[in-house]
Amino acid sequence: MDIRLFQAAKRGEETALEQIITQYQRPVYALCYRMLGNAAEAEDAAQEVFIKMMTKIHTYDPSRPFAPWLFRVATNHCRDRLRRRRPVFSLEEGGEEGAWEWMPGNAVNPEAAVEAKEEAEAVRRLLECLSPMDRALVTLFYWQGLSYAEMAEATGLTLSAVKSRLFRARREMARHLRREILQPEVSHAAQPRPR
Amino acid sequence: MQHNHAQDEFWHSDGWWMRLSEGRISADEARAWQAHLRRCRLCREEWRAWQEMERLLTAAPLPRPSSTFVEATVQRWSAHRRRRRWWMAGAILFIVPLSAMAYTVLMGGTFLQAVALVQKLWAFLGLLVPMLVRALVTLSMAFGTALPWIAATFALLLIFVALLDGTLLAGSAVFMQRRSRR
Ligand SMILES: [Zn+2]
Repeated sequence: MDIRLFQAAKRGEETALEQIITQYQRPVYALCYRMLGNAAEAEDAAQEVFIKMMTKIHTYDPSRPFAPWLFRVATNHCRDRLRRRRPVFSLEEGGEEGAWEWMPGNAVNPEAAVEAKEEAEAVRRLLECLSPMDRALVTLFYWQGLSYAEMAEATGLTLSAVKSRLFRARREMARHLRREILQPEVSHAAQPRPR
Repeated sequence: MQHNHAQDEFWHSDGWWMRLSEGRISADEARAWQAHLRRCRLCREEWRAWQEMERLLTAAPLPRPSSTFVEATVQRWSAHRRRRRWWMAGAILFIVPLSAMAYTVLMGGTFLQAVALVQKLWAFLGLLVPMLVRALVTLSMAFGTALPWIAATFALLLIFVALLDGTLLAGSAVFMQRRSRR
């Protein structure tokens, strides 16, 4: 982040905040959405993330990259929200609100729109089988394109923990998918092979 | 099948799948893996599901917030800031008379003198508030967002002192009452 922008934000200037939000609204919102699975809640949470960012900005070291720091604020905030939300722990609440996934810009025809919506639901189901922390890791990996080191910074985990947790999360999702879509073949494969 | 058992264990290990998922495999390994896939249904299915998962996740678009997001967030921030300022001003307004009262008593004044001082302070409230606001603005210029924390620490310290002094105050009030009875 531009150092002058950072200084201005540190003084609490609204124009600086506006610039930062404009720049980071989409990744922060996307992270909240993927973690919480609900458009309305994600919007509210993302706004709170930026307010938290402003109140904590004096703890940010400007010599380090800004995005992982901001993602850490967002990840912690969403995990807090999920903890408070227990035991209701479903990503399916999103329902129709996930309409952004197949907005006119994304789909060229109705069939494609239906397919996109089905895929969005499949993604939601995949993320639902993960813990909040693993959801954060998967989101940072697939949609924010962070490196392992940046992911470690964004989550407060060690580098090796990031690697192994992310791997296990991906395998969990793959196995979930296998159970879901390849059901008939799987039950067959699970049997010992005939001699 | 028997001679492949050890090799199968390798292909089924976490270590291999981790390297595979990160794309850290050699050309020879890739060839041997393809050969194993032809033989092993379990790996074939798992790998197919893995690739389908990758396709689903990488194809999913990055969701967008609403078009009013930036504006709404800035508004929320300024409301939050205003609320915080009021809380701070309120805390100071509460602490100042309390400390003044405690100070008077501590320096040998009586309870009634302390009450009179608070009454005077109350009368000067009209002057005090703009003064406080000006002081707060200057302080926030100097300390930025660290100010609430500095203020909170200071306020806690003051509350602690005031509580101590408050106990003394109550004690002295009781003492004065007894003395006037004699
Ligand atoms: Zn195998």
